[in-house]
Amino acid sequence: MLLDHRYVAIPETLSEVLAALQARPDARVIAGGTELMPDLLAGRKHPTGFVSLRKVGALRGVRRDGPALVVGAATPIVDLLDLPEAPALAAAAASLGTPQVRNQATAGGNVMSALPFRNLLPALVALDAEVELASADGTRRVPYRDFTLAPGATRLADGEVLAALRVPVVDGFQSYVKVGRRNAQFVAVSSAALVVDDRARALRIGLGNAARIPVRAPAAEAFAAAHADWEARTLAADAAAEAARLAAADADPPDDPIASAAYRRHATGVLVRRLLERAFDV
Amino acid sequence: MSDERLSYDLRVDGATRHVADAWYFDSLLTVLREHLGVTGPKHGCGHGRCGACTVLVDGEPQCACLLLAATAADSEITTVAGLGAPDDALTDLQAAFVEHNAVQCGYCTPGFIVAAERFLEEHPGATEDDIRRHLYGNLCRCTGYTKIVDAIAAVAARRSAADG
Repeated sequence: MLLDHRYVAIPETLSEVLAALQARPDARVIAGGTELMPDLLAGRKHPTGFVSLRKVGALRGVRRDGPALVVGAATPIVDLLDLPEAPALAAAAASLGTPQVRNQATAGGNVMSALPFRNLLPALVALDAEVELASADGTRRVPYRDFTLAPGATRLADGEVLAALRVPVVDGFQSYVKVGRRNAQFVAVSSAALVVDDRARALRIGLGNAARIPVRAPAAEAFAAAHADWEARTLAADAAAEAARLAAADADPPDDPIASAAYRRHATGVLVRRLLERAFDV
Repeated sequence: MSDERLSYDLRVDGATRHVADAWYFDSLLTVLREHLGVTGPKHGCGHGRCGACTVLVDGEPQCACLLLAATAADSEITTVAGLGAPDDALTDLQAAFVEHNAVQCGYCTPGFIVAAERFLEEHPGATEDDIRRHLYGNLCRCTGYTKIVDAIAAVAARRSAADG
Protein backbone atom coordinates (compact mmCIF):
# COMPACT_ATOMS: atom_id res chain seq x y z
CA MET A 1 0.00 0.00 0.00
CA LEU A 2 1.00 3.63 -0.47
CA LEU A 3 3.94 2.51 -2.57
CA ASP A 4 3.43 5.23 -5.12
CA HIS A 5 2.95 8.22 -2.88
CA ARG A 6 5.58 10.86 -3.51
CA TYR A 7 6.40 11.48 0.15
CA VAL A 8 5.50 8.31 2.04
CA ALA A 9 6.21 4.77 0.89
CA ILE A 10 5.13 1.81 3.01
CA PRO A 11 6.71 -1.18 1.27
CA GLU A 12 6.31 -4.76 2.44
CA THR A 13 9.43 -6.42 1.02
CA LEU A 14 13.11 -5.52 0.94
CA SER A 15 13.10 -5.15 -2.85
CA GLU A 16 10.17 -2.75 -2.57
CA VAL A 17 12.17 -0.78 0.02
CA LEU A 18 15.10 -0.49 -2.36
CA ALA A 19 12.88 0.51 -5.27
CA ALA A 20 11.13 3.10 -3.09
CA LEU A 21 14.51 4.57 -2.07
CA GLN A 22 15.62 4.71 -5.69
CA ALA A 23 12.47 6.60 -6.62
CA ARG A 24 12.91 9.03 -3.70
CA PRO A 25 16.63 9.59 -3.21
CA ASP A 26 16.04 12.28 -0.58
CA ALA A 27 13.61 10.25 1.53
CA ARG A 28 14.55 9.12 5.01
CA VAL A 29 14.16 5.50 6.06
CA ILE A 30 11.92 5.37 9.12
CA ALA A 31 11.02 2.38 11.30
CA GLY A 32 9.84 3.02 14.87
CA GLY A 33 10.12 6.78 14.48
CA THR A 34 11.60 7.36 17.93
CA GLU A 35 14.76 8.91 16.50
CA LEU A 36 13.26 10.96 13.71
CA MET A 37 9.89 12.20 14.95
CA PRO A 38 11.20 14.35 17.84
CA ASP A 39 13.58 16.07 15.42
CA LEU A 40 10.69 16.74 13.07
CA LEU A 41 8.53 18.15 15.83
CA ALA A 42 11.34 20.40 17.03
CA GLY A 43 12.02 21.56 13.49
CA ARG A 44 15.58 20.20 13.49
CA LYS A 45 14.96 18.00 10.46
CA HIS A 46 12.73 18.41 7.45
CA PRO A 47 12.72 15.12 5.54
CA THR A 48 11.21 15.43 2.10
CA GLY A 49 9.67 12.01 2.41
CA PHE A 50 9.82 8.68 4.20
CA VAL A 51 10.31 5.05 3.35
CA SER A 52 8.83 3.07 6.23
CA LEU A 53 10.16 -0.31 7.35
CA ARG A 54 7.20 -1.00 9.63
CA LYS A 55 5.53 -3.48 7.28
CA VAL A 56 8.64 -5.27 6.05
CA GLY A 57 8.36 -8.60 7.83
CA ALA A 58 11.69 -9.87 6.46
CA LEU A 59 13.54 -7.13 8.37
CA ARG A 60 11.95 -7.99 11.69
CA GLY A 61 12.91 -10.66 14.18
CA VAL A 62 15.94 -12.51 15.53
CA ARG A 63 17.13 -15.82 14.09
CA ARG A 64 20.16 -18.07 14.52
CA ASP A 65 22.39 -18.50 11.49
CA GLY A 66 25.27 -20.85 12.31
CA PRO A 67 27.70 -19.08 14.64
CA ALA A 68 25.75 -15.82 14.71
CA LEU A 69 22.44 -14.28 15.62
CA VAL A 70 20.88 -12.28 12.83
CA VAL A 71 18.86 -9.34 14.13
CA GLY A 72 16.64 -7.76 11.49
CA ALA A 73 17.10 -4.00 11.31
CA ALA A 74 13.42 -3.33 12.04
CA THR A 75 13.32 -5.60 15.10
CA PRO A 76 11.88 -3.66 18.03
CA ILE A 77 14.09 -3.33 21.10
CA VAL A 78 11.55 -5.26 23.19
CA ASP A 79 12.41 -8.38 21.16
CA LEU A 80 16.04 -8.18 22.36
CA LEU A 81 15.29 -8.34 26.08
CA ASP A 82 15.42 -12.12 26.28
CA LEU A 83 18.51 -13.13 24.30
CA PRO A 84 20.49 -15.77 26.20
CA GLU A 85 22.85 -16.03 23.22
CA ALA A 86 23.87 -12.36 23.44
CA PRO A 87 23.52 -11.19 27.05
CA ALA A 88 25.44 -7.94 26.47
CA LEU A 89 22.96 -6.92 23.79
CA ALA A 90 20.01 -7.92 25.99
CA ALA A 91 21.37 -5.91 28.92
CA ALA A 92 21.85 -2.87 26.70
CA ALA A 93 18.31 -3.23 25.35
CA ALA A 94 16.80 -3.54 28.83
CA SER A 95 17.81 -0.03 29.90
CA LEU A 96 16.85 1.69 26.64
CA GLY A 97 14.13 4.34 26.97
CA THR A 98 10.77 3.37 28.42
CA PRO A 99 8.55 0.31 27.91
CA GLN A 100 6.64 2.29 25.27
CA VAL A 101 9.81 3.33 23.45
CA ARG A 102 11.15 -0.25 23.53
CA ASN A 103 7.99 -1.34 21.69
CA GLN A 104 8.70 1.21 18.94
CA ALA A 105 12.42 1.83 18.66
CA THR A 106 14.36 -0.66 16.53
CA ALA A 107 17.81 -2.21 16.58
CA GLY A 108 18.55 -0.68 13.19
CA GLY A 109 17.43 2.76 14.29
CA ASN A 110 19.82 2.65 17.22
CA VAL A 111 22.68 1.78 14.85
CA MET A 112 21.73 4.35 12.21
CA SER A 113 21.50 7.14 14.79
CA ALA A 114 25.28 6.66 15.06
CA LEU A 115 25.35 8.60 18.32
CA PRO A 116 27.96 7.36 20.80
CA PHE A 117 25.58 7.28 23.78
CA ARG A 118 22.96 5.03 22.17
CA ASN A 119 22.50 1.86 24.21
CA LEU A 120 23.18 -0.97 21.79
CA LEU A 121 26.33 0.41 20.24
CA PRO A 122 28.99 -0.45 22.86
CA ALA A 123 27.53 -3.96 23.01
CA LEU A 124 27.73 -4.35 19.23
CA VAL A 125 31.35 -3.17 19.25
CA ALA A 126 32.28 -5.58 22.04
CA LEU A 127 30.46 -8.45 20.33
CA ASP A 128 32.39 -7.82 17.09
CA ALA A 129 29.10 -7.58 15.23
CA GLU A 130 28.73 -6.97 11.52
CA VAL A 131 26.13 -4.94 9.67
CA GLU A 132 24.41 -6.26 6.56
CA LEU A 133 23.77 -3.54 4.01
CA ALA A 134 21.35 -4.24 1.17
CA SER A 135 21.18 -2.45 -2.16
CA ALA A 136 20.00 -3.15 -5.69
CA ASP A 137 23.43 -4.72 -6.29
CA GLY A 138 23.08 -7.23 -3.48
CA THR A 139 24.16 -7.39 0.13
CA ARG A 140 27.52 -6.53 1.66
CA ARG A 141 28.77 -7.03 5.21
CA VAL A 142 30.81 -4.46 7.09
CA PRO A 143 32.34 -4.92 10.54
CA TYR A 144 30.34 -2.75 12.91
CA ARG A 145 33.53 -1.24 14.36
CA ASP A 146 34.21 0.34 10.92
CA PHE A 147 30.63 1.39 10.20
CA THR A 148 30.28 4.63 12.16
CA LEU A 149 32.35 7.51 10.80
CA ALA A 150 31.24 10.38 13.02
CA PRO A 151 28.19 11.21 15.16
CA GLY A 152 25.23 10.72 12.84
CA ALA A 153 27.37 9.53 9.91
CA THR A 154 27.93 5.96 8.73
CA ARG A 155 29.34 4.11 5.74
CA LEU A 156 25.83 3.45 4.40
CA ALA A 157 25.93 4.38 0.72
CA ASP A 158 23.20 6.09 -1.29
CA GLY A 159 20.53 3.57 -2.23
CA GLU A 160 21.58 1.21 0.57
CA VAL A 161 19.54 0.20 3.58
CA LEU A 162 20.67 -1.42 6.82
CA ALA A 163 19.06 -4.86 6.65
CA ALA A 164 20.41 -6.73 9.68
CA LEU A 165 23.00 -6.99 12.41
CA ARG A 166 25.06 -10.18 12.63
CA VAL A 167 26.01 -10.84 16.21
CA PRO A 168 28.51 -13.67 16.87
CA VAL A 169 27.47 -16.03 19.64
CA VAL A 170 30.32 -16.07 22.15
CA ASP A 171 30.71 -18.36 25.18
CA GLY A 172 31.63 -16.44 28.30
CA PHE A 173 30.62 -13.58 30.55
CA GLN A 174 28.87 -10.59 28.92
CA SER A 175 27.31 -7.48 30.31
CA TYR A 176 26.57 -3.81 29.71
CA VAL A 177 26.58 -0.98 32.23
CA LYS A 178 25.95 2.72 32.01
CA VAL A 179 25.90 5.76 34.27
CA GLY A 180 23.54 8.69 34.04
CA ARG A 181 21.54 11.08 36.11
CA ARG A 182 18.90 8.69 37.45
CA ASN A 183 17.87 5.05 37.35
CA ALA A 184 15.12 5.16 34.75
CA GLN A 185 14.87 6.50 31.20
CA PHE A 186 18.13 8.34 31.01
CA VAL A 187 20.58 8.84 28.23
CA ALA A 188 23.98 7.37 29.04
CA VAL A 189 26.62 9.80 30.25
CA SER A 190 29.08 6.97 29.73
CA SER A 191 28.53 3.30 29.00
CA ALA A 192 30.54 0.13 28.52
CA ALA A 193 30.05 -3.46 27.43
CA LEU A 194 32.29 -6.44 28.13
CA VAL A 195 32.36 -9.68 26.16
CA VAL A 196 34.64 -12.43 27.48
CA ASP A 197 35.52 -15.12 24.96
CA ASP A 198 36.29 -18.18 27.10
CA ARG A 199 37.54 -20.32 24.21
CA ALA A 200 39.92 -17.71 22.81
CA ARG A 201 40.85 -16.54 26.32
CA ALA A 202 40.35 -13.01 25.12
CA LEU A 203 38.01 -10.21 26.00
CA ARG A 204 36.57 -7.22 24.22
CA ILE A 205 35.40 -3.94 25.72
CA GLY A 206 33.05 -1.56 23.89
CA LEU A 207 32.72 2.00 25.14
CA GLY A 208 29.90 4.52 24.71
CA ASN A 209 30.65 8.24 24.96
CA ALA A 210 34.35 7.57 25.44
CA ALA A 211 34.90 9.06 21.97
CA ARG A 212 32.80 10.68 19.25
CA ILE A 213 31.83 7.21 18.04
CA PRO A 214 31.52 3.84 19.82
CA VAL A 215 35.03 2.42 20.28
CA ARG A 216 36.95 -0.54 21.70
CA ALA A 217 39.51 -0.28 24.49
CA PRO A 218 42.38 -2.34 23.03
CA ALA A 219 45.05 -1.53 25.63
CA ALA A 220 42.72 -2.35 28.53
CA GLU A 221 41.56 -5.55 26.80
CA ALA A 222 45.09 -6.82 26.19
CA PHE A 223 46.23 -5.97 29.71
CA ALA A 224 43.26 -7.66 31.40
CA ALA A 225 43.46 -10.77 29.19
CA ALA A 226 47.21 -11.14 29.84
CA HIS A 227 46.83 -10.78 33.62
CA ALA A 228 43.74 -12.93 34.10
CA ASP A 229 44.10 -16.46 35.45
CA TRP A 230 41.85 -18.20 32.93
CA GLU A 231 41.79 -21.51 34.83
CA ALA A 232 40.80 -20.01 38.17
CA ARG A 233 38.78 -17.21 36.50
CA THR A 234 40.43 -14.58 38.62
CA LEU A 235 41.94 -11.18 37.98
CA ALA A 236 43.96 -9.39 40.63
CA ALA A 237 42.39 -6.16 41.90
CA ASP A 238 45.38 -4.08 40.87
CA ALA A 239 45.27 -5.59 37.36
CA ALA A 240 41.58 -4.69 37.03
CA ALA A 241 42.42 -1.17 38.22
CA GLU A 242 45.26 -0.85 35.72
CA ALA A 243 43.02 -2.05 32.86
CA ALA A 244 40.46 0.56 33.91
CA ARG A 245 43.16 3.24 34.00
CA LEU A 246 44.27 2.27 30.47
CA ALA A 247 40.69 2.50 29.18
CA ALA A 248 40.26 5.93 30.75
CA ALA A 249 43.63 7.14 29.47
CA ASP A 250 42.77 6.14 25.90
CA ALA A 251 39.34 7.78 26.03
CA ASP A 252 38.70 11.05 24.22
CA PRO A 253 35.17 11.71 25.45
CA PRO A 254 32.75 14.38 24.29
CA ASP A 255 32.36 17.46 26.49
CA ASP A 256 28.79 18.77 26.54
CA PRO A 257 26.14 20.20 28.88
CA ILE A 258 25.27 16.70 30.14
CA ALA A 259 28.78 15.92 31.38
CA SER A 260 32.34 17.15 31.07
CA ALA A 261 35.01 15.18 29.25
CA ALA A 262 36.90 14.79 32.55
CA TYR A 263 33.89 13.26 34.27
CA ARG A 264 33.26 10.91 31.36
CA ARG A 265 36.90 9.82 31.35
CA HIS A 266 36.64 8.97 35.04
CA ALA A 267 33.29 7.20 34.56
CA THR A 268 34.72 5.13 31.69
CA GLY A 269 37.40 3.74 34.01
CA VAL A 270 34.88 3.01 36.75
CA LEU A 271 32.59 1.15 34.34
CA VAL A 272 35.42 -0.94 32.92
CA ARG A 273 36.58 -1.92 36.41
CA ARG A 274 33.00 -2.71 37.43
CA LEU A 275 32.56 -5.05 34.44
CA LEU A 276 35.87 -6.80 35.03
CA GLU A 277 34.95 -7.33 38.68
CA ARG A 278 31.74 -9.01 37.61
CA ALA A 279 33.41 -11.19 34.98
CA PHE A 280 36.28 -12.41 37.14
CA ASP A 281 36.80 -13.09 40.81
CA VAL A 282 38.87 -10.11 41.81
CA MET B 1 -4.68 19.55 -2.84
CA SER B 2 -0.91 19.39 -2.63
CA ASP B 3 0.52 15.91 -2.74
CA GLU B 4 2.29 16.71 0.52
CA ARG B 5 -1.06 15.71 1.99
CA LEU B 6 -2.49 12.24 1.94
CA SER B 7 -5.65 10.40 2.90
CA TYR B 8 -6.00 6.98 4.46
CA ASP B 9 -8.08 4.96 6.91
CA LEU B 10 -7.11 4.24 10.51
CA ARG B 11 -8.63 1.67 12.86
CA VAL B 12 -9.30 3.56 16.11
CA ASP B 13 -11.12 2.07 19.10
CA GLY B 14 -12.74 -0.59 16.97
CA ALA B 15 -14.01 1.73 14.23
CA THR B 16 -12.60 2.57 10.80
CA ARG B 17 -11.94 6.32 10.63
CA HIS B 18 -11.09 8.19 7.45
CA VAL B 19 -8.22 10.66 7.63
CA ALA B 20 -8.45 13.27 4.88
CA ASP B 21 -5.55 15.42 3.75
CA ALA B 22 -3.12 14.90 6.61
CA TRP B 23 0.44 16.14 6.12
CA TYR B 24 2.77 13.35 5.09
CA PHE B 25 4.88 13.97 8.22
CA ASP B 26 2.04 14.08 10.76
CA SER B 27 2.41 11.93 13.87
CA LEU B 28 -0.34 9.56 14.95
CA LEU B 29 -1.00 11.88 17.89
CA THR B 30 -1.60 14.88 15.62
CA VAL B 31 -3.90 12.89 13.37
CA LEU B 32 -5.88 11.44 16.28
CA ARG B 33 -6.35 14.78 18.02
CA GLU B 34 -6.56 17.26 15.18
CA HIS B 35 -8.08 15.26 12.34
CA LEU B 36 -10.26 12.75 14.16
CA GLY B 37 -11.10 14.64 17.37
CA VAL B 38 -9.85 11.72 19.46
CA THR B 39 -8.53 13.72 22.41
CA GLY B 40 -7.85 10.99 24.99
CA PRO B 41 -4.14 10.80 24.12
CA LYS B 42 -2.42 14.01 25.23
CA HIS B 43 0.51 15.93 23.80
CA GLY B 44 3.17 16.16 26.50
CA CYS B 45 6.87 16.09 25.76
CA GLY B 46 6.86 15.10 22.09
CA HIS B 47 9.84 12.76 22.42
CA GLY B 48 8.76 9.62 24.20
CA ARG B 49 9.52 10.50 27.80
CA CYS B 50 6.21 11.41 29.44
CA GLY B 51 3.84 8.78 28.05
CA ALA B 52 0.83 11.13 28.04
CA CYS B 53 0.11 10.12 24.42
CA THR B 54 0.28 6.35 25.09
CA VAL B 55 -2.07 4.26 22.95
CA LEU B 56 -2.13 0.55 22.21
CA VAL B 57 -0.87 -0.24 18.72
CA ASP B 58 -1.85 -3.81 17.91
CA GLY B 59 -2.14 -4.37 21.66
CA GLU B 60 1.23 -2.89 22.71
CA PRO B 61 1.65 0.49 24.43
CA GLN B 62 3.40 3.00 22.19
CA CYS B 63 3.82 6.76 22.14
CA ALA B 64 1.50 8.17 19.49
CA CYS B 65 3.74 11.24 19.17
CA LEU B 66 6.58 9.08 17.82
CA LEU B 67 4.66 7.10 15.24
CA LEU B 68 4.36 8.35 11.67
CA ALA B 69 0.58 8.28 11.28
CA ALA B 70 0.43 7.02 7.71
CA THR B 71 2.43 3.93 8.70
CA ALA B 72 -0.19 2.97 11.30
CA ALA B 73 -2.88 2.46 8.67
CA ASP B 74 -2.98 -1.32 9.03
CA SER B 75 -2.79 -1.33 12.82
CA GLU B 76 -5.47 -1.58 15.48
CA ILE B 77 -5.21 1.54 17.67
CA THR B 78 -6.80 1.64 21.10
CA THR B 79 -7.02 4.83 23.16
CA VAL B 80 -8.27 5.26 26.72
CA ALA B 81 -11.77 5.66 25.31
CA GLY B 82 -11.65 2.27 23.63
CA LEU B 83 -10.76 0.18 26.66
CA GLY B 84 -14.23 -0.02 28.19
CA ALA B 85 -17.31 -1.91 27.21
CA PRO B 86 -19.37 -0.47 24.33
CA ASP B 87 -21.94 0.88 26.80
CA ASP B 88 -19.37 3.43 28.00
CA ALA B 89 -19.07 1.77 31.40
CA LEU B 90 -15.74 2.39 33.10
CA THR B 91 -13.23 -0.43 33.25
CA ASP B 92 -12.29 -1.61 36.72
CA LEU B 93 -8.98 0.23 36.33
CA GLN B 94 -10.69 3.48 35.33
CA ALA B 95 -13.08 3.12 38.27
CA ALA B 96 -10.12 2.51 40.60
CA PHE B 97 -8.49 5.77 39.47
CA VAL B 98 -11.70 7.55 40.49
CA GLU B 99 -12.03 5.63 43.74
CA HIS B 100 -8.42 6.31 44.80
CA ASN B 101 -8.39 9.95 43.67
CA ALA B 102 -5.51 9.04 41.37
CA VAL B 103 -6.34 12.03 39.16
CA GLN B 104 -5.30 15.57 39.92
CA CYS B 105 -4.94 17.68 36.76
CA GLY B 106 -5.72 14.56 34.73
CA TYR B 107 -3.31 15.17 31.88
CA CYS B 108 -1.28 12.00 32.42
CA THR B 109 -4.32 9.85 33.26
CA PRO B 110 -5.27 8.50 29.80
CA GLY B 111 -1.68 7.45 29.08
CA PHE B 112 -1.30 5.91 32.52
CA ILE B 113 -4.51 3.91 32.18
CA VAL B 114 -3.62 2.58 28.72
CA ALA B 115 -0.09 1.60 29.81
CA ALA B 116 -1.30 0.10 33.10
CA GLU B 117 -4.02 -1.94 31.40
CA ARG B 118 -1.44 -3.74 29.26
CA PHE B 119 0.97 -3.97 32.20
CA LEU B 120 -1.68 -5.74 34.32
CA GLU B 121 -2.36 -8.21 31.49
CA GLU B 122 1.34 -9.10 31.41
CA HIS B 123 1.83 -9.01 35.20
CA PRO B 124 -1.22 -10.46 36.89
CA GLY B 125 -0.87 -10.13 40.64
CA ALA B 126 1.64 -7.28 40.27
CA THR B 127 2.93 -5.85 43.54
CA GLU B 128 3.48 -2.17 44.29
CA ASP B 129 7.18 -2.77 43.62
CA ASP B 130 6.43 -4.31 40.19
CA ILE B 131 4.23 -1.34 39.34
CA ARG B 132 6.89 1.21 40.28
CA ARG B 133 9.57 -0.80 38.51
CA HIS B 134 7.74 -1.18 35.21
CA LEU B 135 5.50 1.84 34.74
CA TYR B 136 8.24 4.42 34.40
CA GLY B 137 7.24 5.33 30.86
CA ASN B 138 4.47 7.56 32.22
CA LEU B 139 5.19 10.72 34.18
CA CYS B 140 2.85 12.53 36.57
CA ARG B 141 3.74 15.98 37.82
CA CYS B 142 0.86 16.36 40.33
CA THR B 143 0.16 13.34 42.46
CA GLY B 144 3.57 12.10 43.53
CA TYR B 145 2.42 8.74 42.09
CA THR B 146 1.22 7.26 45.38
CA LYS B 147 -2.47 7.31 44.52
CA ILE B 148 -1.84 6.12 40.97
CA VAL B 149 0.19 3.16 42.23
CA ASP B 150 -2.51 2.47 44.88
CA ALA B 151 -5.22 2.38 42.21
CA ILE B 152 -3.30 0.01 39.97
CA ALA B 153 -2.27 -2.21 42.90
CA ALA B 154 -5.89 -2.42 44.07
CA VAL B 155 -6.97 -3.66 40.64
CA ALA B 156 -4.11 -6.16 40.52
CA ALA B 157 -5.14 -7.52 43.94
CA ARG B 158 -8.83 -7.63 43.04
CA ARG B 159 -8.24 -9.35 39.72
CA SER B 160 -5.92 -11.99 41.17
CA ALA B 161 -8.38 -12.63 44.03
CA ALA B 162 -11.14 -13.12 41.44
CA ASP B 163 -8.91 -15.51 39.45
CA GLY B 164 -7.75 -17.42 42.40
